[in-house]
Amino acid sequence: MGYRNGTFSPIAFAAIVLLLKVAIGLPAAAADDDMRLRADQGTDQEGTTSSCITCHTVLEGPEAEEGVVHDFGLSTHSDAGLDCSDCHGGNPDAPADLESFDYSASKGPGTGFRGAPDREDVPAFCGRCHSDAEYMRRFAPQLRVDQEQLYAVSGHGRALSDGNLQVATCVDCHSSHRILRANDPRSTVAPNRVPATCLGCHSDSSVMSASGLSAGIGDEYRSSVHGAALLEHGDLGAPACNDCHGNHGAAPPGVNSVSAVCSQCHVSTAADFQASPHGPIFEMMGEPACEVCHGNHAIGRTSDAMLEAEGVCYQCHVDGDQGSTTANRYRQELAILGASISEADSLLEIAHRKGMEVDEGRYILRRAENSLVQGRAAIHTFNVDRLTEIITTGQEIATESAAFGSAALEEFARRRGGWQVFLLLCVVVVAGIWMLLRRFEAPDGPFPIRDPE
Amino acid sequence: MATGILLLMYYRPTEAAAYGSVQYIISEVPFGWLVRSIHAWSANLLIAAAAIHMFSVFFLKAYRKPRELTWVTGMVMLGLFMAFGFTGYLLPWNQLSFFATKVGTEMINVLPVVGDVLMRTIRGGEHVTGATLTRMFGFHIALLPAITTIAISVHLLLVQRQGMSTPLIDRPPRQMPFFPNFILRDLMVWTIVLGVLGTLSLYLPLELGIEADPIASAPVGIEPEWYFLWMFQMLRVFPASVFGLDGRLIVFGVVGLLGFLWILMPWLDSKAAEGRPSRYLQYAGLLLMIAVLVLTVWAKFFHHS
Repeated sequence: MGYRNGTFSPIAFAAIVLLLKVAIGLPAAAADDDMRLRADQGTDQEGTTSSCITCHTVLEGPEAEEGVVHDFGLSTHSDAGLDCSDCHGGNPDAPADLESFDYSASKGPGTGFRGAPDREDVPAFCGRCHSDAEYMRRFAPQLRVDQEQLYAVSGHGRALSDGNLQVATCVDCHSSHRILRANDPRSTVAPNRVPATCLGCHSDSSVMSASGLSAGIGDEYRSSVHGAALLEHGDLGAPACNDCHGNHGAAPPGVNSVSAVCSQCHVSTAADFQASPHGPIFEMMGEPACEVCHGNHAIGRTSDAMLEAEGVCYQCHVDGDQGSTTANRYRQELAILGASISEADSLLEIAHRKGMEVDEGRYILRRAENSLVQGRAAIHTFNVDRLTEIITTGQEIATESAAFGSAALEEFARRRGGWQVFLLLCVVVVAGIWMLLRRFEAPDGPFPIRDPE
Repeated sequence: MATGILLLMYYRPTEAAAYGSVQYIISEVPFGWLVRSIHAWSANLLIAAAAIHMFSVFFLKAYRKPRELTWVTGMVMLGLFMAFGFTGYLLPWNQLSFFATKVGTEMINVLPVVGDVLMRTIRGGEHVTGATLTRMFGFHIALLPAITTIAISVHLLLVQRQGMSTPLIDRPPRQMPFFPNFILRDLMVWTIVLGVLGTLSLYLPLELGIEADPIASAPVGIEPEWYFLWMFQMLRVFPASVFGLDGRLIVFGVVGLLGFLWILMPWLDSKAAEGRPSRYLQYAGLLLMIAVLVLTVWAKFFHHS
């Protein structure tokens, strides 16, 4: 490198780059620009000279796209005005000696330099600030300060205290220097990026085998209705790993808490199930409520086929018992309403294709479809009368919608009848005029067409 | 015009009520569907008839002296009919018409100097909003009818004064009395057109679609009414930039120049005034007509964006 023999110092390089940027006005991302500017100048967030940034900029290269200087410049810590020494200690004010790289003034004894923590010390390293309510109030008063305690009781935290150094610590999920807020879409813990972050380890069989866990949950989650909604359709309301397992206190839900986890979103369905005859029985048998029928990570899209002979009910029930009879009844009731809705929809579609206005009929049909959804949800009550009541209501609405479609088709038939009469009239008039003209314009007629004189 | 007046009884030109009022007209008002359908279809047929009439006048050289002004007023009327179509298209306030109007008015912005002012004037602001709807309604039912009444009056007055033009053929055409022969033929055509209108209205009613949602993304397949398709297709296939010039501006420039020359045709076609049709102009007119037809068919049926 040129600067080592004194021909091209990094300070000069930084100054040239800065001048060029100001002169040409090269566009760049604001955060990157700001970070690079500071790195070029060897200053921290406050604009004061930082020997950490000066040296690490040289080590990584002034235009580096990664590395601690680049990453830290983008982080929320940098935005909050923190600098390297707030985590790592040391004396950033000591002048950087780029000729000899003697950093004893910055990192030597007596400077309070802590360096990078060992893996087992990471939670405490971060917790030094993040568990201090008074300190955190200065930067993010809304942020919880029990994360370190939650981590300690999590599956990760317990394994770490047992000496498993492969488990995730703070930096594995949040990264070391490029730590962004969870609501920042670029963050590793942004809702749609959580699965990738968790599955970085949980899909790695070499890591999971040490903990005796399956590495297949990644594929299971991606194939699930939740994974598809979040990862394929970008629905941020769909659950990622942390929505069921927790964030810092992440752990598999216990058998008794599965329904509580699912009920965070599926409120009424879970309440129906708990109040149903199955609720106490599952609890007594120690079965994880929702998971028995729907699975855990590979939760598929529900369908009426789940009630069929090969369906989930027959995991416990056999043909002929009360459970199978109820399942059959459900299936039939739902099929009847489904058929009524299809029939009404077909009638409305035919009428629509004939140019009839059927929006109101379709609006009515939406209500029948809602009844079908309610009926499917009501299966969790395991109360046939409740389902019948919902299906009957849905049937009445579907019939009303079908009647609208039929009325539209009858109206079209009337219009066609009127058009036929009108067209016949037109034909008669045209034929009459034509005959009249033939008579008028005949050579011996009263108004013949004449050659010009 | 009669169907337009009937529609006015129920139509409400506001962003909140326009779509609902049209839906009410076609679903609740007795024969409302028929009135709306006839209104829309007769507007389309009127433009088609005007275009056919224009080309027939061109090929028969009926614009030759002393009928230059009749030709000009005819051209003005065709432009007015197209403006009727453009302003009326937005009035149902459905998704397709909203975005077509957005694209259509955006094109005006390409014009140098006056483009931005003209676009804002037509839109009633920077964007297509309820203000645009009210403005289009105003143009459609007040301003355009007033100008059209004047143009039609002048056109008919000139026809009345100068009489019908006769084609440039060796033998003068045979003659018939206006009444009853001409009137009866006119009545026969009127009856046939009414039959066609009734058939189109019943079997091909104009779909209302879904209500406009200004914050929704533009639906696939936005296109203007068929009579603007030839120009729309030119804009679609022409390069976005040629020698640093905006492609759209070039298309507008070429179309504008051709339109201007077309209007000046009675004066440019000196041979026609002498009773001798120009073969080259006939070919040019034929080429223009074929080009418009090909571009329209291409845009409607064969262009997949």
